[in-house]
Amino acid sequence: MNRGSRLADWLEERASARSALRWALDEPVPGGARAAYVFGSALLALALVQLVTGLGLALYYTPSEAGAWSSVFWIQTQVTLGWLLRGLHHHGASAAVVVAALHLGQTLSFGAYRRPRELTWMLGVLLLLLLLAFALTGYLLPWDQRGYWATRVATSMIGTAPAVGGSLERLAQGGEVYGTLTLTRFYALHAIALPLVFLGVVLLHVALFRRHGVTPPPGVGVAQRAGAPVGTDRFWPRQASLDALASAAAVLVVLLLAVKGHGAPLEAPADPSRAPLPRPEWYFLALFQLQKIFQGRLEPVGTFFLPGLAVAALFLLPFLDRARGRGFHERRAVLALAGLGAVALLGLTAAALLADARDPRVAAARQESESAAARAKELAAHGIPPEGPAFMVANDPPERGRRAFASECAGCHAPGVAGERKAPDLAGLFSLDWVREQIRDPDQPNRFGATKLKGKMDAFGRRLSPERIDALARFVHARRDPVRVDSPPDPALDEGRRAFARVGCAECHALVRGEAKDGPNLYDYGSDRYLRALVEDPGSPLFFGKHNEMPAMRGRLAPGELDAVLVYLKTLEALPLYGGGRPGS
Amino acid sequence: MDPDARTAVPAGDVPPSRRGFLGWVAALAGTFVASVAGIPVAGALLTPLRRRAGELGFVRVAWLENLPEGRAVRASVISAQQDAWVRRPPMALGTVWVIRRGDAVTAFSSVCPHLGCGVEAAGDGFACPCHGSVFDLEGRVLGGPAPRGLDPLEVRVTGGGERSVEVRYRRFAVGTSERREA
Repeated sequence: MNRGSRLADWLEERASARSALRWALDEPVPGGARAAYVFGSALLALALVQLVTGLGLALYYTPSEAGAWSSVFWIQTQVTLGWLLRGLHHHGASAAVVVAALHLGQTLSFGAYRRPRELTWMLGVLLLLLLLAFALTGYLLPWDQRGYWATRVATSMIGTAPAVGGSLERLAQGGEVYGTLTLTRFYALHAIALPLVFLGVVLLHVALFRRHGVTPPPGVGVAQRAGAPVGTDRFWPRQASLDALASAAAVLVVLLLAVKGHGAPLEAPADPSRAPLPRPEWYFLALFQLQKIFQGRLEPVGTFFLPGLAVAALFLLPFLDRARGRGFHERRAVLALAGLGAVALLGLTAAALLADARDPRVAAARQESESAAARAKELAAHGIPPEGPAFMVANDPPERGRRAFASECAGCHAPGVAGERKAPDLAGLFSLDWVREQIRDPDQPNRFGATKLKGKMDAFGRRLSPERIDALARFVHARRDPVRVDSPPDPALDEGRRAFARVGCAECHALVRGEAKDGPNLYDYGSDRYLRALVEDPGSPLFFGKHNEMPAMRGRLAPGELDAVLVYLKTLEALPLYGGGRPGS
Repeated sequence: MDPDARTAVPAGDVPPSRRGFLGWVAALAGTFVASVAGIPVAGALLTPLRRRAGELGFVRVAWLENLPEGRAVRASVISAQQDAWVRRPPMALGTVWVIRRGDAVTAFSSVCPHLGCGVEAAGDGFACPCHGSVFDLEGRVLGGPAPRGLDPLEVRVTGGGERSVEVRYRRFAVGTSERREA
């Protein structure tokens, strides 16, 4: 006797291991092994992959407002094969939903919900709901823009439920704000409570399945009852190998998706102040579309009534089906209704996808969130401050500057409600196009037209040829680096230099450092130093002097804030001019 | 199916050779599923073996021009630290003694190799206020219970105009004659 079978004997004597295995593998399969029976096993395999990969993620994941996004970013970039772990877990959820739908479709069409399998069926529907609860709670955990907003909308939906909605929403949110306490709550549900419940229900579901056995196709059942000889298999090895192959195929698809996307998407950290266009994960798109259809007073129809009705019908199907037999023909009403439901689900999902594909706002929002995500990851690569990734992004100089600009400067520098403007538009600031427009027509509404400076400078577009203006603009634009272009004088700027003297610019604009004339000193016009000095004190005699209307920002903005605004202003240079203005346009 | 039909089922009629083949198929597919889930989890679990504890790089402790010739000066090592993804703001990690000789600088940890007190400058060298170990400017033990000399630290001087003195700060085990990192 070899060592392997001695061990098996030892285990048999103490734990009935061999009998248990034989019991598991010798399950009869009436009508023979079939590919149609593989979905339950494949679903179980996917669930186990979710359990194992979830365990791996839990080694690093941190459920807090400051730690959630950061730890997911860490898993994605620093942990060995962490990206694959995330990818498997993320796409595994989608695969589980698909396989669950197939499993449901197969058992429904074979009539596997009928007596005596009513409880098996109802537990199965419960498992489907648990699966969706897993998906919903897991989606929030990375605490990125996508998960945050999708889940926030979902909890707001709960809040619209009649009577108990408000309390339910507060229960889901966990704390006074949507934040750390929401995360700890969702994490406890997702990683502890739901798995325990799920596991228990799966055990019951499988135990009841073994109690009643597989449901053969209606035809086979009829033949069996008529006493005809029906070929019967054992589970091992035919059905077992089919099941194993199907499980491997499902996992292979998940693996390929995970590798293709190098893990799972991670958008910018959640920002409660800026909602992109929130979209749920694809398997909730049908619900999302339903809400677009039922609006106003009818909203609860789409949010609660129809989905609730569908779930209730599915759950109670064993009792609603009054057909006498299990045959396809006898159950044509049930099958037609189920088919209709499936078509409606697919149709709604397709409609939602189609509407988004056609909507330019969706494309724009997607692009914006991609660039925000890229910037956040760039910053996070250098380490995330203890205050968390949202703080990190908000204090990124261009972003911080954008916010400070919006509160301190946009009142004059952005168009008002009627499109009027009190100060120049700064898109394209100090670019060559900007300078050219300034020379062509300084009093246009987008420049100094609405300020005290109106009429102080000639509109050279009326006197000079476009070529002349271009030469002048090139000369002035080159002031940002005076040392490089003036010592020795750059011959490419000679024409502009001569024009500057000849058309009278020099009467008001000094080119020597520190010399004050009536107009701004242009010694290093457009340089970082010029911009800072101008913003700090525009009323200086070196800038607008007595004609100035802009408040000095020195002392008005905190030092770090001023730096951030300057960084932001420099990003404006790359923008096209307001209205795309060009000479002669 | 009916409970009595269960016992009446004949054994599966799969020939033995095919049984073996199907068994292998099932085992291979099962192994594949287990590996796809197991390998990345093992990666996540074993990551700490691959990532070395973040060794401190060189940290500037002084400007060369500010150091007096041939005299020991105490300098603080202030550096930002990273714990997982969190980058903490700069904090003092410890102090070092630096001695300039021309353009060269030597540095010693201020931790006494005896039991870890902070050594002070004394006379032409250093002395530990706790148990009285005495060291010369080269860090050699001149007296007292210290089992080895002061622990030297790597130093580099960088920059053209204002030259900065940078030290790679490390901690060593105390109480042993052999010098190893703590």
